[in-house]
Amino acid sequence: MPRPLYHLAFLFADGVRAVRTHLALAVMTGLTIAVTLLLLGLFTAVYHHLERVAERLHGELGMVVFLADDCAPAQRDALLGWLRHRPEVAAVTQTSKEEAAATFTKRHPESAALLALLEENPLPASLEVHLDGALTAAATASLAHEVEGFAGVDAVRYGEQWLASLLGLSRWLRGGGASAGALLALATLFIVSNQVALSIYARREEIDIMRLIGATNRFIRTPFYLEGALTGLFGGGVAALLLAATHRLVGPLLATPGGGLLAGSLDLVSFGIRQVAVLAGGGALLGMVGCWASIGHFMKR
Amino acid sequence: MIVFDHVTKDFGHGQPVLRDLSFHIEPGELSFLIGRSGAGKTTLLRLIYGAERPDSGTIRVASRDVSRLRPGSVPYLRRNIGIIFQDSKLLASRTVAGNLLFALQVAGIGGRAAKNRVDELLERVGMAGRAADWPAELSGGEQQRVAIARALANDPALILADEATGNLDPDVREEILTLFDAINQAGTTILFATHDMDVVREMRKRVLTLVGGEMVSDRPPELEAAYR
Ligand SMILES: Nc1ncnc2c1ncn2[C@@H]1O[C@H](COP(=O)(O)OP(=O)(O)OP(=O)(O)O)[C@@H](O)[C@H]1O
Ligand SMILES: [Mg+2]
Repeated sequence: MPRPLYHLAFLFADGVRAVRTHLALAVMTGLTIAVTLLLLGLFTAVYHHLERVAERLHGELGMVVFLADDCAPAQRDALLGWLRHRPEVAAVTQTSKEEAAATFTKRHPESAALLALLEENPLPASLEVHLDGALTAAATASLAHEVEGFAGVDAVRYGEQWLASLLGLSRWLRGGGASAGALLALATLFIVSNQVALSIYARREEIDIMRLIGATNRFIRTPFYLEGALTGLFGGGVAALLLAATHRLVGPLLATPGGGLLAGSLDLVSFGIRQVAVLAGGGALLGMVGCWASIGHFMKR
Repeated sequence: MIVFDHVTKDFGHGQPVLRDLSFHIEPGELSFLIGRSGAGKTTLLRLIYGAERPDSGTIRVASRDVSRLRPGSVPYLRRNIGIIFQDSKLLASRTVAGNLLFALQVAGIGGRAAKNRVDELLERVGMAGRAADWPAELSGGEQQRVAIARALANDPALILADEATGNLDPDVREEILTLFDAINQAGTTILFATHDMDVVREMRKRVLTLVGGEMVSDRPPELEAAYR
C-alpha cells in the first residue's frame, strides 16, 4: 500500500477502534443525531407540502364574482371581456340569478320551499373565474381587488381567509421548525462533543505517548474527527431510513381518493439519493463540529 | 549534540528550578545527570525535548535552537529523540509489536517496512520472539527493553532516559545499563537522569550534578573512576 493510503487506513482503524470502546454511547449519540435530522426533515417536508397545497388549492378554488342585482348587461359584458383577456384567467362561466336558484333547490331540496316563499330571488348572479394553477396567492388577491373596482360588482370571493390561514400555518411551521431545529442541533453538538471528550479522556495515556514519540497534532486529532464523523454518518443514515419509511407510509395514505382536496396533490418532497446524501452529510458535519468543540476544550497543548 | 547556554527556568514559586545553566554534551557521549529529588533533572530533560521553554538562554539540540521552536515543529524534534521513563509507558491495549508499530506509524512508517523494523528492534534489545506478548505479561526489565526498542524506532541521534532503571532490581538494572551502553557504543548520544548513585558507580561515565538549579560539578569519566 502506498504510504499516505496506509496512513489513512491506520487512522481510520483507530477511529473505528475508538468508537468500539464505547459503542453504546456512540449509538446513543448517533440516534440523537438521527432524531434531530429526522425532525428537521419532517418539518421541511410538511412545510414544503403545505406550500404546495396552498399554491395548488387557490388555483383550483378560483374566484367567484357576485354581481349586484342592478348590474346592467353591458356592465357584465365589459367585465367578462376584461376577465377573458387576462392571461392568468383560464375560463369564466356565468351563472344567472335563476340558475343560482335552480342549483340551490337541487342541492338543498328541503329548503326549496323556503326559497319559493320569498317574493324575490335573493340569490345573486355570479361569474366563476377559473385561474391559472400557477398563480400566487398575492397575484390572486390583486386580481380580486381590480375586479371589485368594476361597476355592478357586489363582492369577490377567492378563499382568502382559508388561504391566509394555510400560508400562516406554513410560515409558522417554517419559523418554529427553524428555531426547534437550531435548538436541537445545539443540543446534539453538545452530546457529540461530550462523547468525544469521553473518548479523549479514555485515550489520554495514548495521546501523551503519541506526543512523546512525535505525533503531530493532526495525527492525534484525526481519529477523533473520524469518530465524530462516523457517529454522525450513522445518525444521518438512521434518519434517512426513518424518513424514507415515513414517506412510504404516509404518502399513499394521504393520496387516497378519500383525501378530497388533498388527493393527488400530496407529494412529500420526493425522497431520493439527494435527500439521503444531505442527511448523511448533515450528520457527519454535526459529528465533526461537535468533535471540534471538544478538541478545542480538552486537547490544548 | 546538546548545548545549554545560560538557561534559566522558573516556574514562579520562589527559586528558579534551573539557574543560568551552561554545559554541552558532545555527539556520541553517554552522560549521567544526577541530583536529589526536585533538583530539576526532569525539567532539564523536558527543556531538551520541547515540553518546556526556558525563561531565558538558548538550548541547541543537534545545532537546532529548540528553545524557540514553534509548536508545530516540536513533533519533528521528538522523532529524533528517544525518550524513556521509569515506567515504560507502553500501551496496555497493544501487543509488544503493536506498541512498536504504533511508534513507527506516528513517524509515517507502515506496511512491510514497519514489520521488518519491529523484528530488528526486538532483536536489538534482546526481545526477539516476544512480539505477540502483551505488556502485562512482561517483567519490569522486559517492559523497559520494549520501551527502549520503541525509543530507538526512528533511529534517533539522542536518547533521554529519566530514571529508566528506577523500578528495577540491581541485576536487571545492570542488564538494562549494559543495553544502554551497547546502544551508546553504536553511536547514539545518551543523557541519563537518575538519583541512584549505584547506576553512576557501575557505569563510570561523565557525571553532571545539579544542586539548587546549578551545575555544581561536571566530572569526566577518568575523574569519576578516581572518585570511586
Ligand atoms: N510544570 C511545573 N509547574 C510548576 N512547577 C514545576 C513543574 N515541573 C516541575 N516543577 C518544579 O520544579 C522542581 C524540579 O522538578 P523536577 O521534576 O525537574 O525534579 P527532578 O530532579 O526530576 O526530581 P525527581 O528526582 O523527584 O524526579 C520541583 O520543585 C517541581 O515542583
Ligand atoms: Mg524527575
